[in-house]
Amino acid sequence: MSILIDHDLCNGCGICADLCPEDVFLMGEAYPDAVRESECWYCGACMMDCPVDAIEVVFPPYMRPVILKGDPT
Amino acid sequence: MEFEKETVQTDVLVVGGGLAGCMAAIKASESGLRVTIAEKANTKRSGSTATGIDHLWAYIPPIHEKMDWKIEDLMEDHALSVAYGGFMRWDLLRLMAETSYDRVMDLERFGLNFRYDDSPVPGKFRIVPQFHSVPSSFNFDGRDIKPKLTAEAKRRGVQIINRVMMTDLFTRDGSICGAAGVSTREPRVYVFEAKAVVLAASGRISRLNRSVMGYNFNRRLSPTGSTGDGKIMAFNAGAELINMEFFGPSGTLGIKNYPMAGGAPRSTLQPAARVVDAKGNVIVPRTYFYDWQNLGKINVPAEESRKQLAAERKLRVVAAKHYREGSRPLYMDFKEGTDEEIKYAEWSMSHEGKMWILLKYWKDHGVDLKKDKIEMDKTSRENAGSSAAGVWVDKDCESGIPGLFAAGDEIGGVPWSAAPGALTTGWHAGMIAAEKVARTKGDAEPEGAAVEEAVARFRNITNRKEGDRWLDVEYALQEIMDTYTGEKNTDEMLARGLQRLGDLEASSRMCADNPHDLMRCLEVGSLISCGKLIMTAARQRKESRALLKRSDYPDKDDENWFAFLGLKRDRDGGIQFSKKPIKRP
Repeated sequence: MSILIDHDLCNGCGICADLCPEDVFLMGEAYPDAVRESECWYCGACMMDCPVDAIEVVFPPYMRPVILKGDPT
Repeated sequence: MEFEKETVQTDVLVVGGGLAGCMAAIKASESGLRVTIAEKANTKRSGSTATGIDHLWAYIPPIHEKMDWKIEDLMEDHALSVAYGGFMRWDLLRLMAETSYDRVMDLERFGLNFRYDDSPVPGKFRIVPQFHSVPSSFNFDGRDIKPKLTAEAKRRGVQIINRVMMTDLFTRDGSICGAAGVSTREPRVYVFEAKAVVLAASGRISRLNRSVMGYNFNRRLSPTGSTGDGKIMAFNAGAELINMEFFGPSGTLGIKNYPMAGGAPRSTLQPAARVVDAKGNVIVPRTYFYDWQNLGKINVPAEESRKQLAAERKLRVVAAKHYREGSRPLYMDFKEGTDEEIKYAEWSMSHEGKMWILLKYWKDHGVDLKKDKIEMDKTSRENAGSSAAGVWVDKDCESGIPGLFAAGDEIGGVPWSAAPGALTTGWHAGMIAAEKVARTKGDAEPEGAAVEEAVARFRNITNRKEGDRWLDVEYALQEIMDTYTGEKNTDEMLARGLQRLGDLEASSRMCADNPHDLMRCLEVGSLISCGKLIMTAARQRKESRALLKRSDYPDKDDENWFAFLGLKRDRDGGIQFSKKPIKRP
């Protein structure tokens, strides 16, 4: 699961579903459902615009930036 | 699925609500005429600047006049830096350069911030080097450019219809009379009656190739809903396209695994970002802020700064060379950056499309830009700014079909016109379109038969009980594009690819039982059509130039081919070619 909605925070406003460029969400009665997660562009608009910060977009393992940690000394 | 039909009567129809489309609509609305935007997603977060933009180039008179850098210098630099030695529409670039500053002032009026108290630049702007030999790109707070443009359009009475995929343009007696599209959420067909249409859907084409990361929907420079719909609509209506043969580069260097816009060194991550190889050798050096205290006191002669620009552009090739020749992994680091410089880069990242989320990832995962290295790798192929493929228009952005305009990346011929191209040509096309409507008598009325033909196409897909999933046909298309096009094109491969695309088109039986999937099926249709035009054009241009690399014609042939290749649909459904010599000022 890449698009996580915290149901405790979500107020069902539907902004995420309204704005998503790839129309990934279906608005349920109370919460949005990322029914088309496989069409997510990973733009982060839903995260940016959620008024209660209830959404986290998690990069799947193959999408994660590859970081070489520096020498701490 | 049974479709209801909704007729929308308007004066200026803008297809696509991105930067170009919003500017076109905003300007057209000044005429007092009815203006409608039809947008596939939601204009608040759609297009290539959906989640922001942190930089755009412009000719900035208060700065550039002091540097003794003229519009002609900008054009020469642009030609050298990104337009393959001048292979571009010089007249359109002039329009962009001449009106770019005015459009930035408009953006400021619409609520976007360009001024910073701590800036030493006249006007308190933040200006950095990017494409040209002097700093010419505004860095600004552009994260919410789309909500702000949407609000401005609404404030001016523009009608915005979101969640509609446009599919057809209609003409009567050779002139535009309207368009049709289908809702992406409801079983509804929209029929637009309009005497002018500004085509401003993304000019970029995504999803033509397999994704390098194995995930289809995250691509680099354009939203994945950019499937060339505008180009195909224009072509089918009889307009001419150019530059289709300049098909996306074989992937540029970007941040490994997470494709986004903006990279090192001359973009969002400046001034401190640089690229190093596995042994720590610097292969793309960092940039520096311009010495604004000396503005107007020391001017580097244009010839000198152009030499430096050429050298810096060569670094992109150097990076690609290192990629091929085994000095990988390649990394981006900020080791030479001061705290202030890194803070600046993070600020601009937070405003650039798709980089706010990347910055958040870095922060959440404890990335320390002073110490850590970020691995770089090739991104997916993409038909974007370097291709400059699109509709052939006159100096007023009008195509060969009276009443049909194009704006932004939909216009063919100006590589990396990007945001300034969208703002300026959007504005200009909107203005001219409105003037045209004011002069055109009579009503706009699409022919019933043409509308029915479009609806029948939708029904074919939705009435089919069993068939191909759109995504599977898309994968088949990507296999063909990847197999038969690439770095070593030949006539035999392109011809075979064209044949296979034709077979795919004829044999695929896409089906959808809901409006969203219908939209995806139609997108795949656009992509196949784009693929056919790309291969056809690539076969026709018998030379190698810019992004087109042919093994059978490996050299550039300026004598015969320093011209745009036009493609137009002829009466029998074949293609009529034309050569359009490039006109330098």
